[in-house]
Amino acid sequence: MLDLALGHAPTPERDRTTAHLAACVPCRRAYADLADSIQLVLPVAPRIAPPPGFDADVLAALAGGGSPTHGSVPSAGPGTRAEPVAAAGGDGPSVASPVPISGRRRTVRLAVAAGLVGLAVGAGVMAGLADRDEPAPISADQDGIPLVDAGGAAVGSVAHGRDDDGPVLIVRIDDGPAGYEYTCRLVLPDGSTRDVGQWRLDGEDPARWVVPVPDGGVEAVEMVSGDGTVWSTAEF
Amino acid sequence: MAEVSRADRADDAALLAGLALDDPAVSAAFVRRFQGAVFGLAVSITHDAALAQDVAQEVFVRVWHAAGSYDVRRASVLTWILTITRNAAIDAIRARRAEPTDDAVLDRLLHETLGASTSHEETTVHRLQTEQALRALHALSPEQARAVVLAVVGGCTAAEVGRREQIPLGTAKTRIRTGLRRLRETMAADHD
Repeated sequence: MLDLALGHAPTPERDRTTAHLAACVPCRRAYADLADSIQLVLPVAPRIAPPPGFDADVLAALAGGGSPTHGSVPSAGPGTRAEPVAAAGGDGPSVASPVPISGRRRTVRLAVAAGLVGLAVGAGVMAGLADRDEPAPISADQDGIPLVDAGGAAVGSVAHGRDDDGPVLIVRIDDGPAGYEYTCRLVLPDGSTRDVGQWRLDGEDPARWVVPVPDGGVEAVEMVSGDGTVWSTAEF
Repeated sequence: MAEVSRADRADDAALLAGLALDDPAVSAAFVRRFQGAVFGLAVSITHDAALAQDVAQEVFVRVWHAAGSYDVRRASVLTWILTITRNAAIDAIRARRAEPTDDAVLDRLLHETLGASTSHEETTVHRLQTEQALRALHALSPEQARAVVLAVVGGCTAAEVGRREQIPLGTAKTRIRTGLRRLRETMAADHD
């Protein structure tokens, strides 16, 4: 658990530990304490002035939409570091497991799976998809906005799209902890929220789901872990 | 004397909120305020100025993307941005660091961190946070404090801490874990 909190756990150990944390409340609490303690130490890091021109480079990168002007650094998954740990769904409703197929076909299959879950949770918004014999083709209108976790890492994206029944959101997770379950929650313009599905990440990437857009639109999409923590958010 | 803009005087959370709105003056003030801490931690973990510069720039981009998800109830802006920095730096060294870090580099880090006094160039809030964390570190045994600093600020694995301190891996893990727990208790007591 210490290695995981420090960000050094190798992949098999990380997966084992994160799976255990998802199921074990005392260990999850101990992990959260470790992660909090690590955060408390960070302000003692030495202050060092970066090279001249650094701030200009950063501002240029931000003005350019966030593309770094220097080299870029790789990103590890949220399960590899001292960030809030997602929990299992507890006594929540049934779970759709993404089917490991690729490309557009995968998206369509998952849309049906998500629709079935929508019925299970009684959200209603997904019901239309579940009744189809043949899933309709779905097109994305844009690349999507980033779905970012509490630590600021981009873990996926949400794009507007359209199928035969109207506008949809295409939720994509590129970098998530395998075996974890999340509730997909829509934040509506009036501030209310609507849960539209509960999904488990299978470690295959990317995982994608399609969610019909309710009347009035959506302000944000949140992926919420079993303990109610918002793991990642995409804001329109 | 240079004029201090309104953005420079804004508190951290207000600056972060402004960053999300793409205000150039606010963005510049935000970067100026945090760049020393971000670059400092990135250097401490990567021990490589060029890589640290890439990491630090990536951090500001991540912060800009994630500004809307910041929750003031969970952490200060300084802690939040330094957590992002630590994650990015660890990611970077996992990909690139192949050899053990020079002991002299770690000695300097320990000296600069545990022997540090806070800078008057920092905002009062940052200075208070840093002083509180330093007090809690100094309340630990020197062995625990070194283990915690090497692991958290130096980005060392428990095995690297053990090698550096010439102690078994299990002892290194115990020092880090116990040190972190005691530090948290001390800081919680400070708040009461």
